[in-house]
Amino acid sequence: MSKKNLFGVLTALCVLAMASLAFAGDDSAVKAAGLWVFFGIAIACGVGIGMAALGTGIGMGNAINGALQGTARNPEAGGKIMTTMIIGLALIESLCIYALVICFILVFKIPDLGGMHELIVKSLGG
Amino acid sequence: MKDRDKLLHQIKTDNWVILLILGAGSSAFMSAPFTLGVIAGGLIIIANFSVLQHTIRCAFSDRGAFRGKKLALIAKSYFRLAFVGLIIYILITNGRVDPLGLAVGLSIVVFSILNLGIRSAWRTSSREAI
Repeated sequence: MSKKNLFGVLTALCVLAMASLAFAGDDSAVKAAGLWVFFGIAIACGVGIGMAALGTGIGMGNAINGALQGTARNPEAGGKIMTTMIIGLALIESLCIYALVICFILVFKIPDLGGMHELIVKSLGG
Repeated sequence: MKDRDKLLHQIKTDNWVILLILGAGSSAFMSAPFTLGVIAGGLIIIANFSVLQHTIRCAFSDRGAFRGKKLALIAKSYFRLAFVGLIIYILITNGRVDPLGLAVGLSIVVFSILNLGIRSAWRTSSREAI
């Protein structure tokens, strides 16, 4: 997808979200806004943890690659390199754990899942 | 004790000291769920760091070659991550801990590494000044 198309899709999504909020006085519009919030949280969690895992994987891969190359070139420095690598890996891994915590907070703490579920069932006519 | 062991030992000691300081501070000034979150997060991340260190030490000998079985090491690493995720999930869904406190507790290793970095930078700069 080109940049123009992506920009267009994002703009359309924003306009739709704003329109649903603008008609918040109407009951169905409130339900639509609730669904948009739920949709946004789901997208944020999925994309967020995916990007965090991607970044962590790339970072750890680079760190281990560098450490192994350094150890292979200078085996005597292997111990020092390994210690530094452990520290670096702990720092990198903590970023992914933060992302996981934020996703859990988004999913389990911010929305009222029970109310949201009722809203969806009602809006679907159940 | 070798230099590299000293460094890790220093980080481990700092972890416990920072956990103690944060736990005492939050119990004095913050709510009980926040304190519980700090302590639980700190214990999780300290255990995680110790297991990570042990796994990497088992994986690579001083000569840089694999010592154990590769599959067992990879399984151990994934098991560790899954366990940490499960514990955090249980703590957050249970509702007894404050998520912000949990995040602060999970930052303890980062704080101690930053502390070590700042101290070594300070030592280096003061040595250069002399």
